[in-house]
Amino acid sequence: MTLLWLHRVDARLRALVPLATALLAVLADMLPLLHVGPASVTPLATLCVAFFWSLYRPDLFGAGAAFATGIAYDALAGLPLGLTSLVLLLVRHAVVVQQRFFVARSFPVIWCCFLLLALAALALRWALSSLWWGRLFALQPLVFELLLSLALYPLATLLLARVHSWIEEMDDES
Amino acid sequence: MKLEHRSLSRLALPLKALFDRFALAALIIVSIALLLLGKADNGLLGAVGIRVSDALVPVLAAAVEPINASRRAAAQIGELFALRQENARLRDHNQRLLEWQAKARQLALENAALRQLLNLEGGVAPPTAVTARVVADAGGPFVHTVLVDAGADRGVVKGMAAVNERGLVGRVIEVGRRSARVLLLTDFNSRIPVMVEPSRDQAILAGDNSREPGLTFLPLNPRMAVGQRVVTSGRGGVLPPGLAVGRISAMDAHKVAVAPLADWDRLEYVRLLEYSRVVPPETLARLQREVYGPPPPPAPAPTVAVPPDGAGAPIQ
Repeated sequence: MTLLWLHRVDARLRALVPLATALLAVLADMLPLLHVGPASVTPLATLCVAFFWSLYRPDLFGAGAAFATGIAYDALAGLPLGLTSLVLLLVRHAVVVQQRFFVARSFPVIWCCFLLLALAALALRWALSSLWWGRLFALQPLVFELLLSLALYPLATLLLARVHSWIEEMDDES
Repeated sequence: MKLEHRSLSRLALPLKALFDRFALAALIIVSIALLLLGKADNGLLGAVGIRVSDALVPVLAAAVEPINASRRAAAQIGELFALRQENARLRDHNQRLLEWQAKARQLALENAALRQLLNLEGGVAPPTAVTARVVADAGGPFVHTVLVDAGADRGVVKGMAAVNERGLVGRVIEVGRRSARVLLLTDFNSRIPVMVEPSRDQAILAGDNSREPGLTFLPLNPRMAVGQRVVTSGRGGVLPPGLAVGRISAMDAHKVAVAPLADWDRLEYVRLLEYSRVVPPETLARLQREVYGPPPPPAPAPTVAVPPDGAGAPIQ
């Protein structure tokens, strides 16, 4: 009985791993670790992680997790609450809807898809921010953000793939 | 048993899909509602945001320290190679500072003597300061703010000036229990009353999300030139006067650009200075409550009673 209960707790905790990595990515985005260039342009690790989990484990990275990640990002970055959560929810939905397309694709194809989706997500964030503050923000930093995120994605994939295979192994064991 | 499990999952899967779809729509609506509520600016969402920051600040503070240490180490390695030039530069600098120190001492004595002559009250009391570590800086093109790891529990209040060893960095706009948000000079919402030395022309330093904010509300025929120092003027009573802000870096028909002295890439610690000559309305209301007690219920008919301080007395 205790063993069964422990198993359940274990499974629940494992289900929280994608959310935990996404929150870690939010924290990484806040640190002066990846700030590059004069305008303090940063890659969006949060976006990379959200894309990865939406693609490989949408069951564990649900809409609630995307929302929570976005709210944490907005709160720490001083952005209007709901901005990043809306963007991440739509990113997750777009990936989940196109799930069939992604099956058994090679990494370069997925990387290109990430490029397109990141472009759409950053453009949406820019449009929402411009609407919210009632002013047009510069577009140039967006291009840098996009390129840096694109460069970060393979690295994020490398790390997250290990976490993913660990979750799968544990799933198989139980 | 297996069959039962299968039939259960056959039932559960569509239910889960339905729930997922519902959750997605609901959360999208919640996000949009949050955005609209935030736009209405009723202060509630700001409080939620700073609560979340409060909760995550210890984690960030723990993570930021090794990163800062490694950045410092990298910078030190770079400095090792330029040690000789740096030494010569510092010696030269020291020489000039000693001359300035002598001049400053002389001026301080003269100032004290003149004050005595005029029977003037002593200068402004030095502001109280809280030192805080910068723990989060999201960067990005939209807002230029940083989160620091000191909040109301260490005496931080809204409106405090944030300075580092070089000069003004920004001011506190949100205060939580353990964290506070500093609006940097460069943010497009930042407006700082400043003056240009030596002409003492007053202006407002308005951020525009670029690295170099511009001066607005200049006086007619401004007397300023590239390279002149810009300091806070203290107008409005929120920021202490005389804090170094930057130097005029460029002037043209559209913009008088100021290069802030703060080094945005090495913003590790800031000092938050308390200085408020003008009592903010909420503090005034609290003080009034403390002195006079809670406000009386509104009287149905006008009375002729005069309040204790005589503020309501008709002017003769």
